[in-house]
Amino acid sequence: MMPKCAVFPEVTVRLACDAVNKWRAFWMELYAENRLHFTIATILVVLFVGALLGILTDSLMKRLGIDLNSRKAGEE
Amino acid sequence: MSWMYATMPMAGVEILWPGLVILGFGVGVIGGFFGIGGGWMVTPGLNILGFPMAFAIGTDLTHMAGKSLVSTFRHARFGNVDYRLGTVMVLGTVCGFEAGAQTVMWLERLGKVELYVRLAYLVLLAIIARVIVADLRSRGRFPDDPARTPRSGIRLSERLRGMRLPPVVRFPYAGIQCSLWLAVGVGLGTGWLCGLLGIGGGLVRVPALVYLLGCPTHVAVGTDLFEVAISGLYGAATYTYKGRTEPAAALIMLLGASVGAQIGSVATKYVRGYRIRSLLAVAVLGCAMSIVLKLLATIQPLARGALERAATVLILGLVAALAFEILRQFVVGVRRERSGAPERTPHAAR
Repeated sequence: MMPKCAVFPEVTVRLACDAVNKWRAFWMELYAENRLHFTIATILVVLFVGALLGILTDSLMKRLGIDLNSRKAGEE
Repeated sequence: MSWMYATMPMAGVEILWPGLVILGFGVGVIGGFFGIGGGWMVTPGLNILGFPMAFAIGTDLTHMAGKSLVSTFRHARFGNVDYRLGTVMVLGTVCGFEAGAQTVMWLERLGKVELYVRLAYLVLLAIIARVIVADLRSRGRFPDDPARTPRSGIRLSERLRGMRLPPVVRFPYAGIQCSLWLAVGVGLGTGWLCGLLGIGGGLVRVPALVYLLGCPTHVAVGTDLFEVAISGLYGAATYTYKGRTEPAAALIMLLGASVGAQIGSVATKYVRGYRIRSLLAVAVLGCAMSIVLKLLATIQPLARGALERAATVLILGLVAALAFEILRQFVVGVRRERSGAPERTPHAAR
């Protein structure tokens, strides 16, 4: 005898991809498929962006005449 | 006005995205200016903007992990990091951090996380406000006199280091010798607070390193940044794995914070130490006020909308006003310096 719940049709859950762009859809899919990969990818992207922005602003400040990598400026 | 709201896919909430930019840039300026990360403003700020509390903590930690990397390398190059002390403390920090994160998850399951974390923030901010006000009062007549620094904390560190529970370890850069358990204990306590409140912990760890372990201040700052980088990475990883991070919001804030932090740190050169402490007191009190408004909004359902709007306006207005004031001081200072006028701002006594 078939169990009662089997009479219901199969339900497929899909992301509402039209509401988000491709970049966001990629993260959402990664999140849904493998949480560990999502975590590693998030950390790597954040570290890369953080390091890149840090280096960019350091060089920008150096051009303005403020060398944040000098010990004197650091102590100030 | 719908274009001003962006859907945050992980948290499933609509967020006022200019608010994220103001918060990221403003807290970057304020954090760089006061020499602390500013996580104590970001977590309540994100929560007030509409993120659930656990997401606010996770997102704050993730943006902090990216932000602290470069400043940690900078301090390491200056020789301000005691790696032995940092490594010993990391053991306690990571365990404490995970305990804090688990406390948040447990409170979330009970449906009490918003209330208890906000109350914990109020207690923390009240303690900080009390310390600043006491400091401002004690220096009232001689605002920038270093000789008026209270010495009770130094006596406490001497007493604590006197407890020789083995193994006793020597930390060469910090120039101190103490029980390994004391360093691990400091890491554990501050780590728990960081995991619970989603802060980097400079606000509590630097005073703990100075007053409990007896570290010189520059080594305390460098070693704290090392701890922030490690615990930030661990915190970002654990909260992301638990599905409580919004990477898009973290990246938007990181953009503003990286630029803001550099401006803020340079602005300290042009402002008197006493004025910096007064501004910090304003920031702490304003942040506490906005948390109180948000708490009242949950108690008073009839005035909920108005109170939530007031809390949002207060936190964003406060961050924007403080960042603007710091930027103004920065521009005035740079102009004065370039015109060759004598410096008005002795900062040696900060």
